[in-house]
Amino acid sequence: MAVTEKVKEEKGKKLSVSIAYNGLNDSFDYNEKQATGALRARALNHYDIRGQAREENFLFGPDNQTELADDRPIGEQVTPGSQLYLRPRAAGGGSK
Amino acid sequence: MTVLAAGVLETAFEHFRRCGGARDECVVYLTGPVDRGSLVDGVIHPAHTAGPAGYDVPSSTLADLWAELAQEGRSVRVQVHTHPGTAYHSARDDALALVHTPGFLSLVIPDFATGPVGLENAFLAERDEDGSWVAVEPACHLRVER
Repeated sequence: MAVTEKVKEEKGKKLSVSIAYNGLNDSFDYNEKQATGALRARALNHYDIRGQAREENFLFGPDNQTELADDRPIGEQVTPGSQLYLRPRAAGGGSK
Repeated sequence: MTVLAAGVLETAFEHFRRCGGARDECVVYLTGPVDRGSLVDGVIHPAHTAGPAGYDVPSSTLADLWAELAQEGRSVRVQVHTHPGTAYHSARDDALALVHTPGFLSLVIPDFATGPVGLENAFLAERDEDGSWVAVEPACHLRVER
């Protein structure tokens, strides 16, 4: 295979990451120039997270500690095949 | 109807009494296999901070929990915590819930769980289709196996 053909093939390859939410862990295709917020929105839709909670669940990187910025391209923040996590920053409750 | 396997409620109350010590609130997460949506057969007592009127689960604990659930193919189906007196769903309970999908249940146990093990005087809220919490009757949504 000519080098140019191989490059074309790799460019056309679908990029994907896994996003886990509450024990479910599904694969999502992405375009590396797409804003990360768009991927987060797709994950929120996929996992049926509605209402105000859409503003309270965030994408975390493979270390599950680093929060991914919505306004930056996905390709700058993750590598293909990464395991990501959709979760709140904290949880809690109480009588007051 | 969510089915709590035998021993689940007893284990939850043990955590509440040992950790909360009748002076602080406490929380556990009830889990089940992702492919058996109605079954709860596990209890997770997450690392948290608490006082007489509230509890907090930090990001690092949620990170470990989310990774563990994904690895084991299990989901949290019910969050359960104690109140010092009457059981109800406070604004804080509404705002800081762990899971935000329709059908998720949040159970509140009164009196720091110092009463009999069971659902007497407990308060159950369900996440609805609009993302709000609605009060539901525990006996209609939870079946406790003995």
